[in-house]
Amino acid sequence: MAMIEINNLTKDYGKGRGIFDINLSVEKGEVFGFAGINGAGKTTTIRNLMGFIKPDSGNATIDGLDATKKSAQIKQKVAYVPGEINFPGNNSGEVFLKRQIEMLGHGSWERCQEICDELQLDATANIKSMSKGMKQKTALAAAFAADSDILIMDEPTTGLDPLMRDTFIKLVEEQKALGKTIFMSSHIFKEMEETCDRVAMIKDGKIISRIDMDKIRYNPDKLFKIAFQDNENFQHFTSLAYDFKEVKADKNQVTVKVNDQNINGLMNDLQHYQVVFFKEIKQSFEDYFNQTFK
Amino acid sequence: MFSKAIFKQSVRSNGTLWLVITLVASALLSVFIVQFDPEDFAALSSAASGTSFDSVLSGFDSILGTLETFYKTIAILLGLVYIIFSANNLVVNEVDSGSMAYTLSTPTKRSTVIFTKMAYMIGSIILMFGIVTGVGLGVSEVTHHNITGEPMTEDVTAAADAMDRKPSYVRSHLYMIEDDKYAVQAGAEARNMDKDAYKQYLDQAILRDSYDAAAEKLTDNRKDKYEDTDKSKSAIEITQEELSKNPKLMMNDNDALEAGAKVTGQSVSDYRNSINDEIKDDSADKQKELEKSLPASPSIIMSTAQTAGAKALNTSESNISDNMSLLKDDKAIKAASEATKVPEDQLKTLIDSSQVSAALKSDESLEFDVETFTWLNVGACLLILAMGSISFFASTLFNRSNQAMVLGAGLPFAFFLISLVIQQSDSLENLKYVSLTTLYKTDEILSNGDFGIPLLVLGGVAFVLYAASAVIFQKKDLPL
Repeated sequence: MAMIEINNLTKDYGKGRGIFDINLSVEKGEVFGFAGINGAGKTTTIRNLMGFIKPDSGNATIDGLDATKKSAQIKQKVAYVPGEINFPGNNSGEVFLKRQIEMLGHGSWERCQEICDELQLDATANIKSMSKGMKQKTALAAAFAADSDILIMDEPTTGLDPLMRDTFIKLVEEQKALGKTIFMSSHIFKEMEETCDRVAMIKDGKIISRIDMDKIRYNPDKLFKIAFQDNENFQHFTSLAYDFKEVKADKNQVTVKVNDQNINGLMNDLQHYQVVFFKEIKQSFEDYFNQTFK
Repeated sequence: MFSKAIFKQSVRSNGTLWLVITLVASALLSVFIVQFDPEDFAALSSAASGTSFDSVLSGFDSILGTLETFYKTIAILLGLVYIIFSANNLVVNEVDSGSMAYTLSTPTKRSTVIFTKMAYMIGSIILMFGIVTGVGLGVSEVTHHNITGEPMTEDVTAAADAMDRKPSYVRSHLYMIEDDKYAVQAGAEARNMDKDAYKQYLDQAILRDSYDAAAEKLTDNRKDKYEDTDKSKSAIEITQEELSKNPKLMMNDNDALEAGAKVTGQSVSDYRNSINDEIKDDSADKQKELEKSLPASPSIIMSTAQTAGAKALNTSESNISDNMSLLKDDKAIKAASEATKVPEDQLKTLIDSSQVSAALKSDESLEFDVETFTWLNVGACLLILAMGSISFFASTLFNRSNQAMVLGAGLPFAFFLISLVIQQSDSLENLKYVSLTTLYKTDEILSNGDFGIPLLVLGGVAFVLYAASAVIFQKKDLPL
């Protein structure tokens, strides 16, 4: 069952800005990534989901409820991390977190304290004098402590150091294990690669690609880079029937794409050549992203 | 519709400003009331009577008249500061900074958010003026004792002291002073009068108080009598002024006579006789006769007499005008008589009557009509509510704090400036049609005139703009 559905969603701000005809579906228990460069339309899409802005056409539903019309009702199931964080009032982080739990009507202060510990956050500081990183941690604590069925996060790791990003990934995995649905925008590949089940890429307000992360993580087609002793070996190997991705005659190097099933064939063939090195080129989500956005 | 959490948040973020403004307004109002010295104004107005300056001063001749200045300028200015900043703070600031996202990411409807914020805004303004009204009444009662009873003057306090009585008791039984020579002495000194003039004043004051008591009783009885007819309230009511112009009104009402007699300490029949005498030999007619025989108007004679008297006594004129009984000094009266060509004894009568009328006027200036004062406050409150609705509207219309400020602070402030400019120059009178401030008609409130409909318009403006704000906020896109 789809927890989040976006159908032909369009919000036109003029001059080509906005989002156009977005279609997405996020299943229950799924971690869904929303990738794109700055200004691509990630935040606009999330604002629609949160009911902060109204679409020109199309609609979004969360757990079957219209995101615009049933905005308040939806919030009983949704926790949110805004892209730009500014807390209301002029109190300590603790006061804010407690108030937020109270206003949400679910989640617990004990859970919140655990998360603060994990994030190494001292929530007694005044929210107005917090650094970017502390604000981000406070926002994450508020969202994760809420124990909501759905988490919507707009670039949740900005301002966090690499160690804290790992903690964040751990928190997301915990939530996933609890069967929560997570929708997050990001342009940080590592966290998406490690947490997301699927990723949609948005460019200039349009979805240009949808990727199943497993396909990248467990791609049976692998790339191997092989360098040969001399030109003779190189010439001879390139005459074989392989899927050559890159051929560098001056360095006697080739890159071949080989399916896992044929890996033994390649090994056998290579026994007859003088090989200098042989290595697998890891295909990461970043490579895929860069290729897509080229 | 209403969220306690949001309301608390609004109080926390705007409460300090509210408190400061309320305290400053209360303190300034208190200063206005405490500083009011009836004798200053009585002296001023008697000096100005008959001159063109008189009409300018008429607004200042009572405590409420001076408070008009407070309500037209200081109260409005302080109110503006509060509404401009709090309206901006309540909505657009939270949208601009993004902190509204946290409120709206909880299961709280936008309508709840905006209604709660409106409730805070409107409630805090009303409470502010409520407190200012209370402080005004309290301070006036403490300093002038003019809320719960007749205004207390220095002479009554001094006389009560001399008799070892409670001042409030002596105030409602003024005839007690007349019966005690030490009390008369003390009272006369406090009033800067000689004993003759002071006794004359007491007679007049007792008569005034008795008319007051009788008029009240008379009105009560007329209310019962005309209850079922469609006579208007003002037609039924007999005021003290009406009664003193035409004392015959009470001759057929025993209750009224009884009430009046009680004040004078006489029996009802004695009182009836004295009122009959009063009707027969009208003191106003006597006054006119006296004036006719004079070579010039009384105010001119008095000022010439003062100059001459001051010279003869080798003192300043202001000393004389502070204590006119000095003029009765043999040397002074001789000089004054020569200068004014008025016989000495006639001049003495004139001095006495001018002192008595100044004293009565100063008493009158201390009168504090609670209803009028309340309307001054209600009017100022409605004006600030209407101005606040402009700021609030701007705060919901825009997403950027500084843009909202341009409209939300600029327009109310422009209105305020226009009201100041209009007072300065008649040629700019037409500007009154473009400013909300002119709908708060303090002069009409003071003169008990037509001020209700403009105030209703102010309330209407506030209602429409607050309603529009609520609609806009629920429909608009929020950049959160």
